[in-house]
Formats: sequence, structure tokens, C-alpha cells
Amino acid sequence: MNNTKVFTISNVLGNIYVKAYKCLKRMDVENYMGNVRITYEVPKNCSGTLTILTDMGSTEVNLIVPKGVKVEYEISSNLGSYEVILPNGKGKNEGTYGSGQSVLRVRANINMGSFKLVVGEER
Amino acid sequence: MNVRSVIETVRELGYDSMRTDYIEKTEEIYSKIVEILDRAEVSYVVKEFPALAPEWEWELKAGEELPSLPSGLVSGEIEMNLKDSSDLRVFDFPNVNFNSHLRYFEEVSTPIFHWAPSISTSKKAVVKILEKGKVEGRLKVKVRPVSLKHLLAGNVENPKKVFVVHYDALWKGVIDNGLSVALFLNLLEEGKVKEDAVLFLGFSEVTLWPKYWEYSMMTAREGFRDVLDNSEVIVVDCIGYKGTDFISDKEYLEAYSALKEEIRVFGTPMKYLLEIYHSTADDLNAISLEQLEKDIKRVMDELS
Repeated sequence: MNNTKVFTISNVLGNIYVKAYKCLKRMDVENYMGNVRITYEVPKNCSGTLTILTDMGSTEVNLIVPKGVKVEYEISSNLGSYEVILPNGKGKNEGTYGSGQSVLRVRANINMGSFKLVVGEER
Repeated sequence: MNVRSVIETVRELGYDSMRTDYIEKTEEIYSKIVEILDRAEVSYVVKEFPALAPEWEWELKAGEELPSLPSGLVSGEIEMNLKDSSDLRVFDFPNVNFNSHLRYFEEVSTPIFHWAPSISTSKKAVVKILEKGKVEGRLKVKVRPVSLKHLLAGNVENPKKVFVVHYDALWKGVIDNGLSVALFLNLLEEGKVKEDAVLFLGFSEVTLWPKYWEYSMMTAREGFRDVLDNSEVIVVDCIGYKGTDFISDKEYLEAYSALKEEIRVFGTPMKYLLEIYHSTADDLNAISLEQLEKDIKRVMDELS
């Protein structure tokens, strides 16, 4: 299933936990004061974009990536903190992991909260 | 998909066991739902809200100890106000109540909860109370903060239809609402829910603000407003017993319309449901296999 519809999550004070296995073309997350945790087992041959805005909350994205999918990430931070954990060590605020024609783009903007991106290899 | 696999899932989820710890039972069922969805690699979104739920300690005697269940949301002494709870009217004075519509003489049912010290007992025990001419009892209600979790599974992005099932249950809960939960888990596991989503609601039976039956639906609307507004919403509550149909009983509609104004409810009409409602008899023996088979087919016909 390759949905073109945008998957939008807007979180103000609550806690949200998302677990996805299917191909998401776009996932937009806006987290203002709550906690959001996303686990995404990226399917093969799946390209898409995750856009995350964290204002005062904490957001954690755990990606499980198969071979053949490249992860491109770009994090901008105003007052917030971020952390990128790749299978081969820590990452910086922008970079790539893996290779392949399918590209998963992660774009995060942190104003005052915290953001953590953890990339893991396929089980 | 068959009746047997649905009943096996009901057992796996623990709906057939008698529990008075409503909070723990709800939390355990939630964990099992997540376990089943993870096993089947079904996508889902969980939204959590803070809520308050009751934990009870109680006793009821008329010379000897009587079979009983808590039906009040306020601590205090029980008084000799005998009430038939099958009219579903909520009272604010201490009472002891029974459900005259209950199918069994010795079972206990709590169709509603009162804003007062209140305990439910069996029809048989009511005879004892009347013989003794007095009753002694007390109820202690502890209000506990809980994490109210609603889980949307299946096509969480753009579902055509959202099927709503509450997963929490009072006491046992095979008909209310274990069979519906098990049916949709099986449908999700088997990949039969393709274009639709299933919304599993938590703590829908009792939360302590503002009315005890509304908060779950209000928070679910808050959490999944866009999805609910852009899809057809079908509530499935209490199947596999008797006369299941798309119903218009106000008891269902009042609570569920907090999700969305226009909804359809597929369930057991209240006049039949009262025979086992929120009772110690809502177990595997209450299932009508013939009715359940029909209900499974009708639910599957509703899938997009």
C-alpha cells in the first residue's frame, strides 16, 4: 500500500505512540507539549518523508530500515536538543544512512523540546 | 475467520475471567491487544490521556455475607434503600440494588453506577434482605489516576470507515465487549481490514469526570477528530447474545455521540442486554453461537 494521503499527527499535551509497518508517503507530526514516540518498520521499496515539529515536548523516532532504503535526515534546532543514533555510531544534525533507490527523508525542527532519531537495521 | 477463532481470542484476552480490579483488567487487555497487533505487523496509533478511575473495597451483609459488586462512586455506609437498577436511573443517595431483568437468580449485575455509596446484589439475596428487614454494608472508593489509551489500527491514514469497539470490561465482559474486540483483532490479523480502521477505546465504562460514561468518548474525539470527521463511524458493542442489529437505544447513542454526531451502532438492544449486562453471567456461557455467526457475517459485510 503506497498511500499518497498525508498522515498527520498533532499533539498538544498527550502522549502518542505510533507503530507503522506499511509504506507511508508522508507523515507530518506536530508535537507541542506532549510526548511522541514513533516506531516505523520501513518496508522495502518505500520512499517517503517524515516531517517533525517539536515545540516543547519530546519526540523520538525509531526507524527500522531494510537494505536498499536510504535514510536522509536533517535536523534544525532553535533552543531544543537532539540526538541521532545510527547503527554505526552517533550522527550529526544532517546525514545519510544506508543506500538504495528508496529514500526515507526525516526532517525535524525543534524549537524548545527534545528530539531523538534512532536508526536500526531490519530484524 | 470463524466463531471458534473469535472465542479463542476472547479467552486469550482474559474476558472470561471474573475480575473486580477494573483498572488492572483494562490495562492487561490493552497490553494483549498491542501484543497481537505487533505479532501481526498491523500499523497503529495510540493516544494517551490522563483520567481518573475507581478502585473499590466493599462488603454487604444481611446477617450473613451476601454476593455483591460495587455500584457506587462515593465512599460510605449503605442504607436500606432497595432499588431496581434495571430502569437505569442514577441516584445520589446510599442504596442497595438489584437488576430485576437479570436472567439468573443468583448472579449480580451493575447496569449503572450511582453518585452515592451503592452496592448491587442478586435477586436471591434481596429476598434475604427483605426477610431480615435490614442490611449492613460499606463501600470505599479510591480514585486512581490512570493512563487512558485509545488505539487506532489498520488504515490509520485515510480510513473510509472507522469501527469503534471499547476494550475495557467490568467483571467479566465476554458479550460486553470481548467478542467485538476479538472479532476485529482477528480481522486485522487476517488482513481483512484493508481500507478501514478500528478504534479500540479504553476506560469507557467508568471514568470519574464529568459523567462517568462520557470521558472516554470525548478524549477519543479529541485524539482522532480528523479521522472520525472524514470517515463513516460504526460502533460495535455487545454482539453474540440476542437480537443484534443496528440499534437506536438512547443509552448507547448518548455515550457514543460524543465521538461524532452521526454514528451507527451495531449491538444488542438494551431490553435483551439487561439479562446479562455488567454481570457475573457475562461469560462464555452467555454466547449464542448462532447469533455470533450471524453477527460476524454482518460486520464483515460492512467492511469496505
